[in-house]
Amino acid sequence: MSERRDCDALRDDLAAYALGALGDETAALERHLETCDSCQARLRWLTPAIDLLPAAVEQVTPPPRLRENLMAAVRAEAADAAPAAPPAAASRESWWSAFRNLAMRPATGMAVLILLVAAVGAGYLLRGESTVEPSVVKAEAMNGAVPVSATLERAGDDATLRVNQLPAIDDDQVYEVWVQRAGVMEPRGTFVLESDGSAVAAVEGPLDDGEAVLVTREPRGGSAQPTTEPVLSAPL
Amino acid sequence: MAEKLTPEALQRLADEDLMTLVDRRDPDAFAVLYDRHGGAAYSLAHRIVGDPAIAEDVTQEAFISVWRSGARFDAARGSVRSWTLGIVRNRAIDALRRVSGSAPKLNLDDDALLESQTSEELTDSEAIRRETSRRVRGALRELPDEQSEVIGLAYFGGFTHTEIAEMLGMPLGTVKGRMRLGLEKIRNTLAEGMGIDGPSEALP
Repeated sequence: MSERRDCDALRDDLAAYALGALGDETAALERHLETCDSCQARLRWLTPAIDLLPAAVEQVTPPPRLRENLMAAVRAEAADAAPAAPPAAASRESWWSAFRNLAMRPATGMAVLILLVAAVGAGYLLRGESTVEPSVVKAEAMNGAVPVSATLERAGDDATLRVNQLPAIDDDQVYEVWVQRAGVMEPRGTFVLESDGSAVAAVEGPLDDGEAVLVTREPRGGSAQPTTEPVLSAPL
Repeated sequence: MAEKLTPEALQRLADEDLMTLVDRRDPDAFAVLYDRHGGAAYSLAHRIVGDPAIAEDVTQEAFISVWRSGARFDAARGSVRSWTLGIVRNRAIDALRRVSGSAPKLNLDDDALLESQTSEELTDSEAIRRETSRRVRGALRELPDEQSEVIGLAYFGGFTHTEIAEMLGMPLGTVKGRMRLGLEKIRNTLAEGMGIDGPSEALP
């Protein structure tokens, strides 16, 4: 009986929840929803009203390149994941060129990052390098004033940079990964931060004879040469 | 391996069946889903972030997430469309907060903009989408302003109920009550039939 009264009191909360506006109380309501059939039923009843809201906005036509970019990314992943995938070298070439195409365009930072991470995962599988023990080193901040926390995980000729904390950047900027070889900085991809300041970025090989992996802040799309001081460095 | 479906056969599949194929990494099924919902998704992102480039970014992220996490789609909890648009909405709000610091900006009424946009050539499905949108907006205008205001701030503005209460100088309970009354009214209008899909059972 008391549960029934509680649920009546939650009717307003359910509406706020359905609108994505319950804030800090979201987790508590979701816990209740797991075990309460009547609140679940009520939420289901409200859902068509929420579904209607997107239809009420001004309908605009997306640019055709949005579909092209998406399908290029999706087809590249489907090809990498397929059991009958082409030999590793060819497949790496194809996803890398897909990445280069994407990286040249604005407004695809996140998608590029996702692609990179997936591609590195697929690369491991295709080359069957399960015998290579990954080694992990801690990245150092290059400027003591900014909070930086990151690790570099290396397995053979692939490396993954895991960022826990880096300073936020403007929307028209990206972080760019570099491999320093014989004193020369070679661009190896860009990434942006998740809303919590973290990121996972693949560092494309070759890494042989590399001295360090560094990260700089660059304009969106990345640069051919670093234009700012590195914020972090990890030895190879 | 299962036989490959022709593009015509894919077009005839329901969203839920397409999701099963997407979960098996079928790019052609994904393309059909994008063609069905990409326009609505981009429009929603555009409405929330108010910037074409960021809207493009958000829509791309959201559809990549659909491609990746098709397995997380649960037909018992809603349609593919509402699941996809929910992802778009959340990512758009995240982007809005990234761009404008912690506080999303207000962008409440774009009817004027809409009226100026009707001269370009539209495909059939886009024309239908715009006609539906016009009718839905008409129905939403029937809501008392105080209810549509809190609903708009929450859904399109990304504000929480406490933020809205502070912003409007109202008790939290009043804000939540207006959200509920507004949503119930929309839901009941749907049940009476405005030509928009939706089950029409009574309020539980």
